[in-house]
Amino acid sequence: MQRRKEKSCGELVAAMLAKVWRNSPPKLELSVEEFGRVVPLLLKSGAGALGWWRVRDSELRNAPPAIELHNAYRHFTLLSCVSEIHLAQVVASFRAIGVEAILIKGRAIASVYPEPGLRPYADFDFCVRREQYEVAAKNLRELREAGINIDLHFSFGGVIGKTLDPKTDACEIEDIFARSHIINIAGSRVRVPAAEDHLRLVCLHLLKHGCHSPLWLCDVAALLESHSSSLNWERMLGTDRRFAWAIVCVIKLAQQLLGANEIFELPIEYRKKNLPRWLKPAVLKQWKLPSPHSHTDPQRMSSHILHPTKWREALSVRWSNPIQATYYYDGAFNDFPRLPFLIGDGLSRVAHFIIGRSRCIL
Amino acid sequence: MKTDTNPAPRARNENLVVKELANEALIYDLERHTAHCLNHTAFLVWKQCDGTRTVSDIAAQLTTELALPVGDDLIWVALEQLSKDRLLAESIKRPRAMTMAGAGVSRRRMLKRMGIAAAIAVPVVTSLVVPPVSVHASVACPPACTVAGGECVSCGKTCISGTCM
Repeated sequence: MQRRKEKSCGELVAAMLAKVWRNSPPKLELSVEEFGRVVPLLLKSGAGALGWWRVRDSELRNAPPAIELHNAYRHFTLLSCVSEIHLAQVVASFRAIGVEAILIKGRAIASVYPEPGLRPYADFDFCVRREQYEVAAKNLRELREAGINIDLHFSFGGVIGKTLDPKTDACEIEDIFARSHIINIAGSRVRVPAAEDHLRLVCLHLLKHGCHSPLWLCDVAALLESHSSSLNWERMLGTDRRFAWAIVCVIKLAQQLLGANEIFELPIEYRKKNLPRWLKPAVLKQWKLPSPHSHTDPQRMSSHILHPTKWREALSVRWSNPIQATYYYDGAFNDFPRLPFLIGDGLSRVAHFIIGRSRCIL
Repeated sequence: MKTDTNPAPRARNENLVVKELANEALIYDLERHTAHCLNHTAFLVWKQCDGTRTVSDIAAQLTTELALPVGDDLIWVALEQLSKDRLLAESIKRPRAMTMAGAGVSRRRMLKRMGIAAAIAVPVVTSLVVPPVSVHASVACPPACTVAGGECVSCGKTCISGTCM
């Protein structure tokens, strides 16, 4: 009898979150042992509530690890309710000073899930026009001091991790504003981006962070399926072909790892193209890390200098993420080896470290 | 009629966020920053606490709603937990004569009296342990980032005057 190949933790995360953004996700085929392995990863990546959503109608809901998922679901459901009060305050605050702001990521995406509590968020990301940024930031100070976390952006490039020339950046923001629309979130009228703009932004933001968050790939799938019949692909993919293919790669990851629907409206040149062979393994490797920020060490590298035995571990958590490195250096997502990007990224980090330490000493 | 042994409790409704789910309710206390989960029975009791209904009235109401006999003992179990978690407007305590010790009744007999055998869930109010949310927030940098004006070595953001933006 053939022994079933043990799934890696990354594969288990993918299995747990497959189609989980739907009202009725499909039946889950995991053993209790596999379930026990994947629950800590889900909790640490913020996907605990979604994990409960997946198992709530299955036998696994009675397995001991499910209690933690259920508690995560309860916790984030409640926090979502509390956050709606905060959101109303923030929106009112913008309105009072005549600033038009667009809610992006987190709470804006939570609206496309079956329940907003399934998609946790710890802050509100708002986008404003550059000329209104200072007055908006000043106005939010009181709310921030009261404990409401607000991330204010005025640059599209800043959100996606790219330096755009100011004119292009301003045009991107203006286009996003022009195509945005108002939705109702718990009684507050909130402006959100058009689906194409939001998807583009979310896909590129995911690449900026090396696809480390399975929750963010769920966002892509959820946004895609809630708008797939009405998306303007030309607008979504933009005019830069490298960005376009990078965005398509994220969409294909959502399809191939999480079971998002096939998009027949996707331009044929992209539909036929395969993902680079290294990409899916790289994503799954990220998902099996014990913490979504394992690629950053909470302790500075300098604290390890006097402890050579800790160098290997410190370097391993800092070792470049090939997705992040490729994106950072505007590399093409193709089948060529990633080593040059990894070396470039590694050298850049070493240089930053040395410059940082030198400034400290001087 | 309202008496010391048959009070009319009132649910607290200020500074609470309440979310009703399928078989339970979640309550967040904005004053104390605590979260509670009430099972179905406890929530039914809490909803009935309007300051005019006595313990016996609430028991009668639940008997009607659940189509099962509900005694005052079960209501007291709920009220004690709700009071302990500050979900009632005024704190409430079961008169001693009505406690197990005061009445000389064993716990098993008390549960039997409450109608557990009739499959009514014992009212339960659980305090929720809140997991950290920082995993999906931005990376927090050490207070004094040293690459002023440049890219932070920890989070990649731009360091401005020691704070990463």
